[in-house]
Amino acid sequence: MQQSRNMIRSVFEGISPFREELNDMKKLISAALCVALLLCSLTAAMADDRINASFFGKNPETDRYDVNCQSAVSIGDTLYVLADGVYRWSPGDAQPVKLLGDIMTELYANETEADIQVAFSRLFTDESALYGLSIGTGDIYALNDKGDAMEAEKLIKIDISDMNTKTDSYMSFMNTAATFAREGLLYILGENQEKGDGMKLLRFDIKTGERMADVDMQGAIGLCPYKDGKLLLHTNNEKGEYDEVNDVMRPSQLFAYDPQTDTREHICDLKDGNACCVQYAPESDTVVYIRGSVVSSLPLSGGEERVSAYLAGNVWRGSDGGVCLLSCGMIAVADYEGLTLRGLDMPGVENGALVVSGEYGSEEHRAVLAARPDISVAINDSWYNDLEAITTAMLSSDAAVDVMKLDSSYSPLDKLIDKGYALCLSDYPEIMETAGRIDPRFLEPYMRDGKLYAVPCGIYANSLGYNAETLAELGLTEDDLPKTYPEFFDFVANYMYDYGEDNPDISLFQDMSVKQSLGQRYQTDYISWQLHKDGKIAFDTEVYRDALKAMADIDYKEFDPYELMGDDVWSDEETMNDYWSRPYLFTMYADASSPYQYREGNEMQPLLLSITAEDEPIVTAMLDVLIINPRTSRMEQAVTYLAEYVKHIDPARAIALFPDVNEPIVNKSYEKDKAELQKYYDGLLKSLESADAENKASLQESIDYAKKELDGYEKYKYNVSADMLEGFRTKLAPYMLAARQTPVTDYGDDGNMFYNLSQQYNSGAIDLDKYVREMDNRIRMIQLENE
Amino acid sequence: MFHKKSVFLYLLPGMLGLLAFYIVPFVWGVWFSLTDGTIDNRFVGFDNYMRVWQNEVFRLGLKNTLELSLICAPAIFLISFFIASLLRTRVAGDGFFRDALLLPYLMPSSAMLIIWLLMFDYGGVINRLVVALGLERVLWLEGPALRAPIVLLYIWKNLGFSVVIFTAALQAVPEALYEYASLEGAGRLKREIYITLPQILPTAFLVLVLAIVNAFKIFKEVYFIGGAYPDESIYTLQHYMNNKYQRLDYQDVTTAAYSFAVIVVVLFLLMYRTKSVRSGETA
Repeated sequence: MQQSRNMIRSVFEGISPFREELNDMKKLISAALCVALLLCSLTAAMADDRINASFFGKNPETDRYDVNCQSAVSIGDTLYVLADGVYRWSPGDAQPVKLLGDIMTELYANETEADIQVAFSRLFTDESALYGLSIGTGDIYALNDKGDAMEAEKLIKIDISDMNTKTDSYMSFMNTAATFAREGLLYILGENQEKGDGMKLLRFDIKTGERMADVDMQGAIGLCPYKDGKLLLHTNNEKGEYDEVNDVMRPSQLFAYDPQTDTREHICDLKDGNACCVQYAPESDTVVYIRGSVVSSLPLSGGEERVSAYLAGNVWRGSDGGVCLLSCGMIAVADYEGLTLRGLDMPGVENGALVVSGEYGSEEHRAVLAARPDISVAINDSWYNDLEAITTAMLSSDAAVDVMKLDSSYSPLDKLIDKGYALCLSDYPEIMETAGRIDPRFLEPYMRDGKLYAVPCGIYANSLGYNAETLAELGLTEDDLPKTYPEFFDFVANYMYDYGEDNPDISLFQDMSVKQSLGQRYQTDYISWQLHKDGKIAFDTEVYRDALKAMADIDYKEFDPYELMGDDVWSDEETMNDYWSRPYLFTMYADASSPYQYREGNEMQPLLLSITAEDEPIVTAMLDVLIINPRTSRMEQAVTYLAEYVKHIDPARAIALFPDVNEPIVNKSYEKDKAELQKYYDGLLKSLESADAENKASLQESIDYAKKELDGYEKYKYNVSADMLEGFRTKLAPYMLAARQTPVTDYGDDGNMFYNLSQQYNSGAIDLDKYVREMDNRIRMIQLENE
Repeated sequence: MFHKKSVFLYLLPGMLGLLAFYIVPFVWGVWFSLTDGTIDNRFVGFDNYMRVWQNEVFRLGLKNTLELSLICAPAIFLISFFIASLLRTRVAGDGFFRDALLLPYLMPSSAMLIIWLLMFDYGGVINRLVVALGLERVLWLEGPALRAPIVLLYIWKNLGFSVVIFTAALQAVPEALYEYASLEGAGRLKREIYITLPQILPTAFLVLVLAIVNAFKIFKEVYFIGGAYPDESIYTLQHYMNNKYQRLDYQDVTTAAYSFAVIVVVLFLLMYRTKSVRSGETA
């Protein structure tokens, strides 16, 4: 031992004169290794064409979300998507390329559509071959990708008619959970929706069209190709989908299913009972599945389950036909909201995602994700409405909510802001840039000491409405309409005597069960009026008592079948048909937050009423507002998300929020829509030539209607025309008041208490005087308690 | 030495329980009442106490609670003492009376309430009696008149417990003292004042303290009849705290609770002092 040590020492002593050179060499080698490593990683990064992207969101040509993606399949790393045609996308492509158009992609393609050349509603693959399948007809097409185009060749028809239900009035199509082919055999996992007899696995020979097997697959959720000639079957838990004792979904299960022997072998349970869209990645022997907006990977050869990607919106069961994996390590989700592409296990995904609640995949949300694919967002689909639930969700150690979208009427926004559970947004210029454009009336409730804590991102209001055509039929003009609630109650009470008896074919209201909805509408506007006027609510007032008395004087049985028949009216088809078919004067629910009501020729107009003759009319508007959790660990992302979100609010829909939008908004799809209507009209004319006498009358009716629409189509040239803008800005916008949560509208005990009181009054259990006194006492005490 | 140490060991479980379930929550509650209840829970000193004491409804609740206590506690004390005095003499069937008096105490308030509501309804037994006496019917279950059924319900329900305690104390007074006093020519009143009262003073003090503390907590009865927001005349401090708790205003709840606790403790100390002085005099 000592000898060998001496030997080594002597060797090193021998080279000691070269020590400096050796050190230099070491440095050189280290530097070279570093450069090599850097080059390797750069090359790898350059070779990684995986992207996070969203396509077919808002169509820039039409400015609408009008592309419905129905199906997506992959061959290697090439993706094919069925939308308004067949598209192809490969890593490196900036956009999907349309290869095949002019096809009928809708489900309702059926055998009566004789003039349609190509019609299919599903794509499927068999190794490298691409096919299209019509669920309506059973036609199978071979689709040949020619590089810059695609050829569709009808191959054969399979018999799936027993999986669809056809009646005289409608067609119900098979609900498919999986469609794919392997080794010349087509597998369809689906169920007849009408029969509701559970999932079946159908097997066909693609060449002959022969239906080779029908297997009952009760509880099956999805199916996809697996290894060794087997299929990966995803099912509900054998003990039942739902565990009622523990109030949870039981874990769903994965099996290796052998279609030859109809046997299954349990592989594992998935953690989540709501998992769906299970796919198998043979390259990594991994199962990939989706739960909500989270894509998870479960390595079958060992290893921990992990989150691999976050999608733009939630994906539900039944979307399996639009989900596929690309061999380059990506997942594609195609649904009615567009195509979402995500790289699996991209750098940074392990850090989690920005958690957003109250958001269910709105246009604004998807626009944010399309614009900022670098932000991973997970949607929390729980619904929070009370303070405890909201604050708990914010402070939770497990996936705390970072951004919340809340409703102004029912959420405790004032308390959240006052208790510091909403981040001050005034410090972020990127948010204030858009927020500063919002009407101050709708910002004021969320400001404290001149600082903003929540941003409105949507506005919804409805009011009473009147039908201008019916009004003229009664020989009345706008000036004859009531201007205040008391006048309206008086008008309704005397309607039958004044006009109804002479016009028995006209309904006073479009709606039934008017008594309750009228009471609620009045109470909502009365509360808004009081808060606006006095800053607090009181019910024991002359105004409120008089209004209730006036409402009590109305004999609802004179015009409302619900009051005569009760709940039986909903099952009395004759009464319902008679009531709905008649022209009506008023509606309880007219849109009062958009300018669309003022489109030329629109008969339904909002009827704005004031609480008293001395006041202005009132429209109570509910707002959607966004807040940021001040304790978020992703502050930068949360601020970016919120800033982008408000930047993408569609001004046409939320025009009330933006007083600076005063230029007409052009309808980008005008020409396209008009051409489609013209085509439809021409088709009707052609059909009329060959129609039999029986169908001629209804066809002529459709032709007349289409002609009328075509002649007046000019009115659709603008989404918001100058006239509509003027109508909205002068007749509606000035009277809008933001609804706030009050004890009457909260979802807790207070809200229940007031609701129960109203129910007691409506049912006659308590009289008007007691009702008013009780309401007033309670609201007064609550307000005093909160002082 | 070992013996002394082992005592602490035996006490440890109890002490830990006391610490975990009484002392820590109590101190934590005090801290809570001194913070602002925002996400950062900042220390605000006595701001909450200032605000709560300035709140009109808090003061209303406190006033009503004190008023109800001042009616109920003495009433229970006096009536129970009177009944216990009657039951002191052992006669056949006295056990039945004692049990009958204790029964309402054991019954759940919600069940008793139905009977009470029927009795005090506009067309109920009480109003029939009122009419029979030539008076106008009263809306007992609305407005300030609601105090009457609530006070009666509370007394009826809690009387039995005090009677049992008093009876036990009275029966423990040696009979020889009364006999000796009678021989000395002391009348009934003198016997009660100079023999009974000094003998049962500790028990009477306990009964009075319990009556007052319990009366301060009158809530169930009012809540069952009037709900979370009854008529102003019967809105108690417990309503305030309960409603604030429902709205997660924990700072206000703890502030009100500790304010209330201070009042009770002060009252107790005053009573204790009075009792000590009186005991000293009699001694």
